[in-house]
Amino acid sequence: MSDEFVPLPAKIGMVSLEMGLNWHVASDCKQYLMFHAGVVAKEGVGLIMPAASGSGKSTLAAGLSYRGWQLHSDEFGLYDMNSQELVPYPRAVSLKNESIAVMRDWVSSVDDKYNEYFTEEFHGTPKGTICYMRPHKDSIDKMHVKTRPNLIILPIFDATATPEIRPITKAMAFFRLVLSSANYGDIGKDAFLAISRIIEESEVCEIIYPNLEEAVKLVEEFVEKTSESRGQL
Amino acid sequence: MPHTDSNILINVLRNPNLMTGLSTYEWNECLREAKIAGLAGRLAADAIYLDIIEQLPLKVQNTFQSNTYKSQSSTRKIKWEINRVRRAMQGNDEKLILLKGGAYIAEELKCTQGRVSVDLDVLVAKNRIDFAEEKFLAAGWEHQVENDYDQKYYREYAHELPPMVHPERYISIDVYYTILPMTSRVKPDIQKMIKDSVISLDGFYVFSKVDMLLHNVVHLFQDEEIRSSLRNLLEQHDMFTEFGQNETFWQSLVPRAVELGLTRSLYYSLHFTKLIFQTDIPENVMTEIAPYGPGALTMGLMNWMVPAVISTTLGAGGLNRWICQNGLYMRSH
Repeated sequence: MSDEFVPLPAKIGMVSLEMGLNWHVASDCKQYLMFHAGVVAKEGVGLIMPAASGSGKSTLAAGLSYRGWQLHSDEFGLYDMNSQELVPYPRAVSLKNESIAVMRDWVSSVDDKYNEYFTEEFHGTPKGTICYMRPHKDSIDKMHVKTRPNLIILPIFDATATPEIRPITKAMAFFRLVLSSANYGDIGKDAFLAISRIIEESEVCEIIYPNLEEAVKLVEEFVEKTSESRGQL
Repeated sequence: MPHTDSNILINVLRNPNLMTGLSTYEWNECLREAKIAGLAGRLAADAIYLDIIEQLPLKVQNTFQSNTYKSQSSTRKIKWEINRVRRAMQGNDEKLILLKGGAYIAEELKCTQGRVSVDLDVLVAKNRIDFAEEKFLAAGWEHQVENDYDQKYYREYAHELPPMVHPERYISIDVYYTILPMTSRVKPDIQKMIKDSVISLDGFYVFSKVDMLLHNVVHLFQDEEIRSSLRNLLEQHDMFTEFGQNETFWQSLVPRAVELGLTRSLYYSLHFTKLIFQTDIPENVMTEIAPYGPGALTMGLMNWMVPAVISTTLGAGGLNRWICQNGLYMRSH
């Protein structure tokens, strides 16, 4: 584990706990192919959004989970190579800096009790200000319900952008999944075969968006647009 | 054997078929100990070998799958590192010898099943040590200890170069010129061991089977704390079992230990592998090594202390364990 996470002052100990959990999952759950990605599911759609930190994927996954989607994870996509399904890991969502206000706003518009879902803010952590958000109750209730992945969206946040769905090749999506995987190299051949299969069975695109609301619209639009081709799989 | 019979990890290592009948409570204890001892991957390998994986609880299967991937990737990385070392050392005209884990992997020994190695140890002749350091640094390896005090310690008292690591691969490499520290009381003749080494993977050499075993043995009983060294002792058990298929191994074992001055360590290894893992060792070898054992008092102490600390939670900890591990630490130094 990187030294910047331990030790931390007791008042931001929650952050150590989160990093410890992440570290443990990363080092001891190698039976799963792991993606650094937001993962959500709805009605047979298993959506993986691989992206680097700062792309807004955590916010987007958390945002979708308060608009009818099941949250698998905001940053730890786990894939069971035996059953070929995504495994939910709905632990508390770690919100950073500007995304804290965005999510409070987002959740408050659909739930009066939204305040209960957010922890206090932890200032001065190695990642800036952090706040934890409880996943939606439905996501927790469904934490044992797995979904087969069939949609890959690469999210790009740009505050000045015109919202747009851009086509990408399957080869590009393949490499982005490989790049986002924390244990592709450790698993080796099985990981190569798994990602090949996921890409083969998935519709893929890139979305560029200026805010959460537009991002959710683009995701829904792409889901709608691909519903027929997904149905044929 | 009061200490070891109640240890669940040791019982399962002795008889891996026991895995099919463990309760959740026993699994918790067994996997916790196995993980600390670096033997979770070994249990997984045993279960795969016996084809009992599907009879185990699902969470155990998951853990075993995780550990199997870990071990396979570690083996792959070590093999690649061996390849990189070969390349870095081009122009070297003397034997380059793989030690310990690297040698076991190169020779595909049974004890590498499920094993995780995090570093690579090699040995060169003493007059090639500066050459080796130059070559490694030129090929991109970096020193892991930078401060003058530690550098001085390695160069004056240790039997190796200060450890180096390649910044892109994270595997630490230790370059030795003999197998025990300069300060050790025992000084085996390394020239004899180098002379008898045999060709192995990728043009590297490894010690002969007997020397490979003796090196592991002396490492555990002379150089290390015995605490939490179950994995080492199990490797010795595996090597006795694997090498012992060949009668000449048993014939040359004790004479070689005499020649190198490593009889006391070998005595302990034969005694404790037999005691803890019920290793199948020919009676005549036990008779042959018997004169090299310690006095009754020391043997009594060792029989009390070694089983108490070799695993991680044996003897329920507390004062007993504290005395044993510190007593053994002093003995080794």
